[in-house]
Amino acid sequence: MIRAGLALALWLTATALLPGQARRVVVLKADGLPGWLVERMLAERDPDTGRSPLPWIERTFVERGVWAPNFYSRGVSLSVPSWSILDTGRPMVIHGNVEYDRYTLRAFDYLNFIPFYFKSAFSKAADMPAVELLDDLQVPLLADRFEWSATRQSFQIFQRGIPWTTLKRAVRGPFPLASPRRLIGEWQAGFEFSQSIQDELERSLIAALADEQIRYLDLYTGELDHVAHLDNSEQAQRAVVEGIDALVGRVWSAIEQSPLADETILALVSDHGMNTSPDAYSQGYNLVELFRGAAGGRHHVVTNRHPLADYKLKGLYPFVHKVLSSSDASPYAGESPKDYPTVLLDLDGNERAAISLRNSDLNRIHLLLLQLESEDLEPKLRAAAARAYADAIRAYEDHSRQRLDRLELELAVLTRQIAGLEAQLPHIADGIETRRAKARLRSWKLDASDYQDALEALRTLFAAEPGAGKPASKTVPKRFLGEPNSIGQLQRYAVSLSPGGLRLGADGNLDEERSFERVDYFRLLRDLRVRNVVQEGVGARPVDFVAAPVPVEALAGLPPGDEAADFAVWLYGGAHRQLLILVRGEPFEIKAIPAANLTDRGGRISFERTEWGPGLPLALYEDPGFAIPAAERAQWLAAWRSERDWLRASHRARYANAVVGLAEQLRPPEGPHPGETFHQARRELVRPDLLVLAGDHWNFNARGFNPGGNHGGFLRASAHSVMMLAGGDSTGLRRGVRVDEPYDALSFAPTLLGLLGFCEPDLPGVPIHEAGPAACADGLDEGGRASEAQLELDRDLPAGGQRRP
Amino acid sequence: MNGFLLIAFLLAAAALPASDASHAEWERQRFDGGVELHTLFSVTPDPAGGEAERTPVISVLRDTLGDDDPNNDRLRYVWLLAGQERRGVMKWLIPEPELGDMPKPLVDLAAPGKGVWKTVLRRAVQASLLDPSGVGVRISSRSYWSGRRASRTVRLYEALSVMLLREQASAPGGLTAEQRKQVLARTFLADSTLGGLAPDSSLDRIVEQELSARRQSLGRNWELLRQRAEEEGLIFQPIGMDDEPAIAAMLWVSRADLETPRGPFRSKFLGISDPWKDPAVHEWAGYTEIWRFDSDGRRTDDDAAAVRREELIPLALYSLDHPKIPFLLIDFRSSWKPALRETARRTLEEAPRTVLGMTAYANVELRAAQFALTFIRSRRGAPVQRRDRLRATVAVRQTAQAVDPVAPALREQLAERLGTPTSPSTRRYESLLAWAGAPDGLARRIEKDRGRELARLLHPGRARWTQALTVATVGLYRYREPLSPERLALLDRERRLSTAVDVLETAVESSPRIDVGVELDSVRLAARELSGEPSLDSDTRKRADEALRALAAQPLPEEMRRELAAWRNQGPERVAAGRAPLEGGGLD
Ligand SMILES: [Zn+2]
Ligand SMILES: [Zn+2]
Repeated sequence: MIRAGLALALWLTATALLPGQARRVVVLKADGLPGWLVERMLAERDPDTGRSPLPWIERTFVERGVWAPNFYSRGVSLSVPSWSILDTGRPMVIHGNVEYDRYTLRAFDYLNFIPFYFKSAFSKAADMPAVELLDDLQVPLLADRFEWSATRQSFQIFQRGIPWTTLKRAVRGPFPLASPRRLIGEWQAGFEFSQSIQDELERSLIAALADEQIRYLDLYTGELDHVAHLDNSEQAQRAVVEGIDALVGRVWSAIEQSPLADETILALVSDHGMNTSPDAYSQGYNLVELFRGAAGGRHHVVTNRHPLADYKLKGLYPFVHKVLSSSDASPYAGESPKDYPTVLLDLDGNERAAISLRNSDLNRIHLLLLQLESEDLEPKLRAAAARAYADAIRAYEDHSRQRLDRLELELAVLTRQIAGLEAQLPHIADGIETRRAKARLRSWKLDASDYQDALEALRTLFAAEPGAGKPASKTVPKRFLGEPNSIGQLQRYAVSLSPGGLRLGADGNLDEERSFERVDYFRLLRDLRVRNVVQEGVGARPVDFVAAPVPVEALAGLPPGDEAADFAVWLYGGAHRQLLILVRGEPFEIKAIPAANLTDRGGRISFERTEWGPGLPLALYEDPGFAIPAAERAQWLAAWRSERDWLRASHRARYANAVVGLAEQLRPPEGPHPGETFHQARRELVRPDLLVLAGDHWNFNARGFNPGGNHGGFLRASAHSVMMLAGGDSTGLRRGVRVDEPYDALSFAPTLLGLLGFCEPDLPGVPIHEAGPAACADGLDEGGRASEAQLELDRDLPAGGQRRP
Repeated sequence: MNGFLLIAFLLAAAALPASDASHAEWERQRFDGGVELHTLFSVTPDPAGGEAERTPVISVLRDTLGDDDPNNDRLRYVWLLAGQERRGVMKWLIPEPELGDMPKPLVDLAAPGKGVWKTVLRRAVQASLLDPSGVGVRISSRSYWSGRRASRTVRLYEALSVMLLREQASAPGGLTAEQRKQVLARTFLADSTLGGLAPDSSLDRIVEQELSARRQSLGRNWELLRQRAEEEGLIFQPIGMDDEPAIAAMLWVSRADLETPRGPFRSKFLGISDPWKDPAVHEWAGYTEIWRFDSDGRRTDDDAAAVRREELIPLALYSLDHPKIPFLLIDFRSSWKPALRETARRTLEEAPRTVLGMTAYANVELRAAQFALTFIRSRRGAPVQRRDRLRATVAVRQTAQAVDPVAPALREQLAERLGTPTSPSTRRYESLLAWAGAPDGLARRIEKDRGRELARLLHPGRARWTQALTVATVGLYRYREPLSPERLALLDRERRLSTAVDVLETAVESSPRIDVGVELDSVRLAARELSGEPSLDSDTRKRADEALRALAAQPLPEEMRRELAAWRNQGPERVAAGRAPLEGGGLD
């Protein structure tokens, strides 16, 4: 009786809806499914039968739905950053599959799901780490627009909660480790699940379609990504795409038979493409070895997985987030390598590497201290070294003062939040919310104490009186990279003392130039060459170009008007092959300037302006795919253009939307607005110093081999992804629409939300209006939706902690 | 679904032009009574321009019942024909030579599971009875079996290697794509003890998995060797057919580089000793090659483009067709080294069984320990499985003889050390043909097989021993006269029905709507076939009913729904009468 009443009420609300209102969404997430491969297969016909190799995708999306064949990732073509944009509709907040905190070396390993399973099994975690971070930053997921009970998420990177029943049914055991060897094998290969789990997830999705209360469903598959990394053959990759087509068929048929068929939208979306070719293996270049070696600076290097060089069982241990590869010839030989790693590498995705180096001035400080602690320094030299040391300390302190002040403030706020959350804890109902709150509390406490330690270590450093017999290890902060390096520091990075040791200048002071051995990392990386050039179409240079943020206010010689840029990105492809990308406004306006010999001297950055021509990074000028006629190109490129114009002009070029993507990737984190949150303040400290982009068919994978293919860079093959929609009669979705206008990942969430009737004008992305009219209307209070009040609650959450009650 | 892919792979694999490159081709021989022998030949051209050498690799028997319609075909026996020679590494890999008699079939495609349990039982008996009974029995019985097995395995891999890499696109012969796939898959599976138990429906997936695993090994090993060569300052040369992934790789060291001192040499993945400090390398007087490089660092034959010449000393040859890490085939500084490693490994693997006098099958703890050891060592990359090593060697022997980048002088060295591929002897093939042509050979065999097939249909539900009796009674015909036309017609119909059930089951399972996911004509043909007179076999009847019901439950196009209803109402006779026009393969 009560159920009937409920159903009636639901029916009444349903009939009160506006026409063209979708009420349920099913998202099929195909990791790494390349847009170009789907496009190519859809163009094929069996010569005998006339049939498409992808009959379901063709029927469901191409003929009766919406297909956006020009859809691209925005920023690096990497899973975690890309899904973060797709799943939130917000600008990129996570910039790699792993992020390291420069001050504490805490590693945020967003892709590693095994620790999450274990923590979940022992009730120590509720959400995947990427979701924990989004919660800390108060960025809601698409699925968060619905009551949690109205959602069914599958296993994925941005996973809220864990469907334990599914897992249990799939493996019939207390843990998801029915076969540890198999699970570990999969973990090693990437984010992928065994077929039985995948089948079970599909079954539970299809079963959930029968439940009208459930409004958001998704199903993640990482198979294409997994296969294509290892196997470059067309038949293997096409077989996976055909499998996805069959999945579309099963899910769509189930939707058609479900009670909300008319009001359901089915989306097929991918986070990036894949740079793979049956004619070439992707070649790895080992940056860990480079940085450990003499040319790279003899660093102790931290990675998030064991490099394959070790090839030991330890390499399979899935609970590791930080692995140290020490250098035998380190200039800090007397110290314990694990106390003083000086390079953090994020090599995931493999077509790009993110590199964080210890602040070059901390190296100088450390090296000087090591000299001063020894007894046998000649007195004049000792005095000069002591003066140089004092100067260096003062300079570093001045440089970091602003951040330290802000951190003190944020830490005080964090401490209050911890107290607030602890006070709330007893009042939170048992279950996932308690786990979530406890996990959050643990994470915050770890941060608070690590940061207090880091700040304390800095105070020790600033106050220290160096001298003979005072070991540097008592003074130099451990497991600490310090301030991000400036362009100038990266161009003249102090790696060690010169072979001749400290030198005096004519003025009796330390001769800084001759005392330290320095490396220009831009040049070093770009000039790398290998000896064995054995494949057609794969060159001798592993590095295409190096990108780094550059402070606009330091740039000397910008044309009038250009100083108004909000931020800038520098691309280094050689001394005379450089590009400055200036960005302003939101959505972006962008201007690219060809440059040469950009140099940072003491914070003043000069460069030579050059003409547009071939050979610059991104090859815009000579690219036949660039949509501006050759004769007008130089003129077009000389002006500020909107990001939409850039996307339209460049998306079919070799680097597709790289200009917009680099701007998104390297945009400064929001702030600093004092008193905001610790988590936002920390975003600046997880930014890498350098983003290194691999040449075509090159990769930086160090934990294994990915000869099949890779992604992560800005080449079109890697950025070109998939976006398709199909909908029941009442969804307002248009039918048989091919959207030729290019869009990027930022458009996915607002498009879906619009069709579902959520009005969120503050989302920055442009909805794909060709898909159908947005069904926004006030006062809707449909079943399953999180109420405005609940979303509000999330947004201001000052004391943090509790998600919805 | 993957059938197309597999065939595409086979076709792509044979992209080389037929006349001037090694390839493979199928040849058909017809025998009386509707039986055919399909033989795959590996063809190696004579570099001197003489007649190409044709070596039979594998033969398949197809029972067509005398027509051209594949729907009533049955593939029966597969014979391995490739010869085998014990030289070089092979001498160590195969402890005992195989002295064959008349070829025994590798597998009976009509009953691929046959003999599986016998094999399992034999091994169990050997493990539990023979081993503990005494050292003498133990060693001789074990090495007898393992010698036979190894030899068969080599021939199997040679056949597979030809089928995968050299089958000729322009000469696919009379077998259909499906049938070739079946042969390939079953040959693959013959390599594993329980492989025969795999159902036909899983063949696509199994073969695709095998192929994919192999491609992944090739790529991974290629990349491992290239990276290691790069880090150690060596020259890396992949070896493979044009447009095909490389199957082997050579490592060289440039004589000029020997002057420059280098850091420590890490031999771990390479399995060879430090060349930089080795006097044997510094004073190398053996085979070398002069390579020229262009300004990009690529090897070139164009003198104008060359910017430097280097003299290269060969260090090692590896097979890339090996799981996890490349397999060292030749260490050019010591002819015995890989072979020694091979014997050392054999001893290690067999030690727990032979020396301790216990059996791995009988002792769970020992087995666990052995598994752990194997697991750890395989994780660390030591080549553990002899089967894998055989395969790695066979693949390279095939390729090294066939590809261009291997200089003739080096080719001879390789042949000397690895042994040559399939011996040109056609002994097995000749004895197979002789048997096939003999009066009580092929003809008698097929009569007997057909009789057995009929017996199962006509006398279902009887115990095995009575069935044997029945075979004998049906077989009363066999010496005097062939099966009657009526009996043959019955066989024909039953085979068609069984094929139709397979088609329909596959279709219904593969898509929620066969009009979207499946090729519709074949489904209509199958549905029409099954709507007629039911099979004599109760299992086939049941499956047909279920498949038709599942089909009717789908959202079919209206026209097809009407057809389906009409066929079901038509009655068996008219459906049977209507079959004739369908046999051409087309409908409407
Ligand atoms: Zn991905
Ligand atoms: Zn990937």
